[in-house]
Amino acid sequence: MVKVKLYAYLRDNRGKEVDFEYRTGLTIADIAKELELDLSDVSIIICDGKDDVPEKMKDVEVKEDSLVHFFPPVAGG
Amino acid sequence: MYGYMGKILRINLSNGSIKVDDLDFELAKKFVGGRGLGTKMLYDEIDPKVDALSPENKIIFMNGPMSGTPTPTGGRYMVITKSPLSGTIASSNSGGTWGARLKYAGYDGIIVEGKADKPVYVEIHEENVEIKDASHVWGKLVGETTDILQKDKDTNVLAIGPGGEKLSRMAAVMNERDRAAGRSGVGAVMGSKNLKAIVVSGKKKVNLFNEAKTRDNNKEATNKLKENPVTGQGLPTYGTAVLVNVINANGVLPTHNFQKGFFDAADDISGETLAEKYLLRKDPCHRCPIACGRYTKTDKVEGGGPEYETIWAFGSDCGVKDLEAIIEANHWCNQYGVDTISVGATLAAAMELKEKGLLEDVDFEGHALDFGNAEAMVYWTKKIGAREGFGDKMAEGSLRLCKEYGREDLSMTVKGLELPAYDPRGVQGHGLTYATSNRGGCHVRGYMISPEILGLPDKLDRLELKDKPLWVKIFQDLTAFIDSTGLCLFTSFALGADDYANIYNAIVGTEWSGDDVLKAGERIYNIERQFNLEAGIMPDQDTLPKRLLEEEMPEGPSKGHIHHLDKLLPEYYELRGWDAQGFPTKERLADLGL
Repeated sequence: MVKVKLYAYLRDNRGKEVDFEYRTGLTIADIAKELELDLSDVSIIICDGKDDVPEKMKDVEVKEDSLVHFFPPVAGG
Repeated sequence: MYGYMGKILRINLSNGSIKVDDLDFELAKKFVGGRGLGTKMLYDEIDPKVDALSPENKIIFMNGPMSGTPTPTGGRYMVITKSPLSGTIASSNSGGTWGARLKYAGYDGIIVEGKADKPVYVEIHEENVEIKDASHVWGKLVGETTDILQKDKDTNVLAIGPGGEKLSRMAAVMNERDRAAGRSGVGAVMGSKNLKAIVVSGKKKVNLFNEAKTRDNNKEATNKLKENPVTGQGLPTYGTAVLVNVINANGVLPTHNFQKGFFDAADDISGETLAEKYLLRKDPCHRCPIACGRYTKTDKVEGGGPEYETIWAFGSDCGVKDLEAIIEANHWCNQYGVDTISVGATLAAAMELKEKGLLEDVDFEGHALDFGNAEAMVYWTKKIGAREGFGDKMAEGSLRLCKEYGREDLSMTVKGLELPAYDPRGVQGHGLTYATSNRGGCHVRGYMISPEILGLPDKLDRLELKDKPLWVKIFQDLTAFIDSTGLCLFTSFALGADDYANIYNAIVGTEWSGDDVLKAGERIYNIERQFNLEAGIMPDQDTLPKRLLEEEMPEGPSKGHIHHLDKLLPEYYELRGWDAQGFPTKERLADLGL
C-alpha cells in the first residue's frame, strides 16, 4: 500500500491521508492525477526521503511501501 | 531629507537630559537605517567590551526609511544594543505599529543612555518628551502595563515585563502587548536601565522623494505579494506554523533538545490544526497585506501568536504534543516579556539534563521537567518569567544552565543564543548561517530554509555542500539590507534586490541598483562582525554544538547525517574577503567604506 499525505489547502476535499493500491509503474504524476491534484498547485514533493519540485519528482515510480508528501507553496520563519 | 525624519531622540536616564540630534543623512544612506544604522551608532558610541547590563551600554530603537511610509509591511523597527545573553551585537526586530508611530512622532530613532535611579517610562508626543515615574507599573505584566499606559488608539506602548525587570538574559522588548523584539535579551538591557516603557503618539508625515513613483512601486509590490502563493495564500491562511509539517517531513524538526529530527505528533501542533481549532482571526502588522500574524483562543487564554518557532520550542523540542499548552506558554512569555525560542529551548535543555540524571538536587515543586510533560512545561515557563525557584537559574539561558551542571555540550546554542527550529544536520547551508550569524544561533539572518527546503526562489539539494557558502553570503547581505529598511523579511518571498532598490530610490532619492542593495547589506554585516571581534567574540565561535557536528541524526528522513561545517567555512570566509582565520581584511573593509 502506498501512503499519500497532503498538507494545508491541498487537504480540502481530499483529507489528510490517502492510501493507494500499489501497481507496477505507478508514478507520482499518476497519484496526483487520481487525486485530481494539479501539480502546478504543488510546490514540494517528498517521497521516501527525497524532496524536490514536482517537475523533478513527477516521473518517479513509487515502491510498494512508499510514503509520498504533497506540499503547496508554504513558508514562514 | 526624504524617507527619514532627520531627528534622533537622545535620552540620558542618569541625568534626565533629553536632546534631539540631527540625523547625518550621508551616514543614514550608507547604513540605510534600522539594523545597519543602529549598529553603526552603537559601534561608534560604546566600547564593545562593556558589561551589557551596565549603564555604559546603550539601547537604540531604530526605524528604517520605509517605516511609516505606505510601502507594504513598512512598520518594523529594530532594537540594537549589546546582548546580555551572547555578548555579541544584538539587533532584534519587531512588527506591529510602534515603529511607524515613532516616525509619526517625528523621530527616526531613540538612543537611551545611562540608568535611572528608580523605575521610569518615557512618554513621547511629537516634540513633547518626558521621563515619568513608572512605580505604578513596575512589576506588572505586559498586558496590564499596556492597559495603564495606553491613552487612546493613536498611542502605542512598548514595554518590558517582569522578565526584563529581573534581568532575565532571555527578556524581550514587547510592543502592542504581544509583538516582540524577542531575541538576544534586549529586554534585560531596558530593565538594567530601570526603563519600563516607551509610549509614543504623533501624526507627522514621512516625506517621500517621489510620491508618484512610490505609489506605483507600492501597487506593484502589493500585487506581487498577493499573487505569490506563499505571501498571498499560505501565510495568510495558516501563519508561519504551516512549516511544522514540511520541516518534520524532511526530518529536521528538532525534537527532545535536538536529540532527533522527527516528531511523531507534528500534525497535532501544526498550522493546519491551529487554524482549525484555535484561530479567532488574523492579526496583521502595520500596512501588511500578508497578515501572517495569528490571534488565538483556548479555554484558558487568548492573544497574539503562536508562531512556528514558538510551537516548535514548546512543542517538539520539549516533546509536547498539546497545542493548547503551547498556546498558553506563548501567552505567558508575552505577558512576562521573555523570548519564546530561548525559553522553550532552555526548558528542553533542562529536560535533557534531568533525563540524564543531572538535576537530582533540583526541587521541581511537583512539576517534573520531563520530555512530554505539557503541564510542567507551562508551569516552568511562568517560573522563568517570574525568576522563581529553578526558573531563576533557567532565566539565565541554556548555555549558562548547562555549564552549571557540567554539560555545556547539551546546550543547543551558537555564541550563547539558543538555536531555532531547524536541525542543520539535514540542511547544510542553513547550518552555515547559524554558525556565522553575528547575533549567534538565529534563523533570520539568512533564511536558507527557503531554497533548501521550500524551493524558493529555486530548489537546492538540502544535503549538498557545493555553492552553499555563496548562497549564504547573498542571503545574509540581502537580509541585512531588508532589516535596515523597516520592511518585513517575508516580503523577500515575493520581492528581489532590484525591487528593494526601486522602492528605496523612490523614497530616499538615491539611484541604487540591486548590487548596491547587496553591497549595503555586506557593509552592515561587516560592521556587526567588527563589533563582535572588538567585544571579544572571536572566529572560533563560528561553530555549532558538538552534537550536530559529530552525532549522526539517529532516525527519520535525515538519518545518518551530520553537519559539515569544516567543509563550508573556509570558502565562506574567502567569499566574504576575510582571512583564513575569519578576520575581515583591511582591503575588504576599505572597499566597503568601513
